[in-house]
Amino acid sequence: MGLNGEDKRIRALFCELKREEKRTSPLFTKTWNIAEAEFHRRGFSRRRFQPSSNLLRFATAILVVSLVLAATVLLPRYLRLPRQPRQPKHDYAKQEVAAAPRATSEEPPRSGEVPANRESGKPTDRLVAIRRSVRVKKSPVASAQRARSVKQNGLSEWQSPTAKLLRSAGDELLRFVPQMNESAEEMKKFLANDLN
Amino acid sequence: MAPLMQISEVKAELEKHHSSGFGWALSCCGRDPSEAEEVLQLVYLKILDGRARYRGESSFKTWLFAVIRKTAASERRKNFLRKLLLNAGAERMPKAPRTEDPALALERSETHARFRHALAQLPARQQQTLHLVFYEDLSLQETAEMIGISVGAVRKHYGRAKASLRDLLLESEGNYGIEWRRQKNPSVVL
Repeated sequence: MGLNGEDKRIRALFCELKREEKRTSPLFTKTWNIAEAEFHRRGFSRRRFQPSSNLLRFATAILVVSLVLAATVLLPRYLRLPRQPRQPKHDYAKQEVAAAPRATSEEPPRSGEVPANRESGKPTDRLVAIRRSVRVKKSPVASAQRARSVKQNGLSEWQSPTAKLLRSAGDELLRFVPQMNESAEEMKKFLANDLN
Repeated sequence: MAPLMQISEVKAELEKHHSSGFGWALSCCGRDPSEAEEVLQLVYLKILDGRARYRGESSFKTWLFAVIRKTAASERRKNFLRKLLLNAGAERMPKAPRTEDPALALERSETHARFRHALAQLPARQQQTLHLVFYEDLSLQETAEMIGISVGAVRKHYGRAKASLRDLLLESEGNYGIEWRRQKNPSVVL
């Protein structure tokens, strides 16, 4: 680095400063001994508490990780999926298992091909059907369709809890309004039918 | 990676760099000798208990200076927080006034006092840059490594520091000249 006049002057000033500070600097042995004494004083207490502090750190880390995992797994499920009305569990599995063999049986056998085990084909067909149903269950499109059908079924079949209280034996008669120009025969006929 | 040094080797190296380390600690602590000594003790303590380990990734001096800089910074932060949160002035033991050898004080020249004053007015980074370049005779590259910033930033600090120092010195010299002339001839109007 080329030094101009200004740099030289600053360097000279720093040299003077260095000389002075060297004179006032503490001895190495003194500083080292103080540090060493402090190390021995602190060392024992630190060693005594080290395992517990490590354990605490480990426990905290595990807690944080588990919380994060729980949040990432459970929270999206809780937020995204709406609550579905209670439906019997057997619906889909049964339907799909029943539908799957039909699909396979509807396929016409190829000419010249003879099924290897027609009698014993049933269990394998069932196995295939179950596999398909599992596959169907896993696919996102199928799950969406299932959710939709559940919604529709639920809405059409829904009844209020107090609907039973409003029903009575002569409910049907009350719904029917007799017309003036209708014959008594017809009325009797209807009434006889209805009462039976 | 170089194998870790034995404590005796580290001690020998520290002894070699002790005075320059103290100078650097002074620069990092705003030229306060007692604070600088405390920082140096803390650095040695860190080395002893293994919180600071030399792994041979840079020169020993670079590593030591980086440890001193970081320790000084953390001590400054702690002191600042202590002052801010607690009423430190009431609780802490009053510091003994710095005893200065009268002969040394006499020896200290007027120019030197002005230089110290001007240096203290510079921002910390500029002070550190000037210290490493002029006091430790390091290149800008080495200075950048020690401070932990880019060479470009060091160059900027270096240029600004020199300009500021020149202005401050000129200003103080001017004042000093006026003061001096006033002392010589009090009736003079300047």
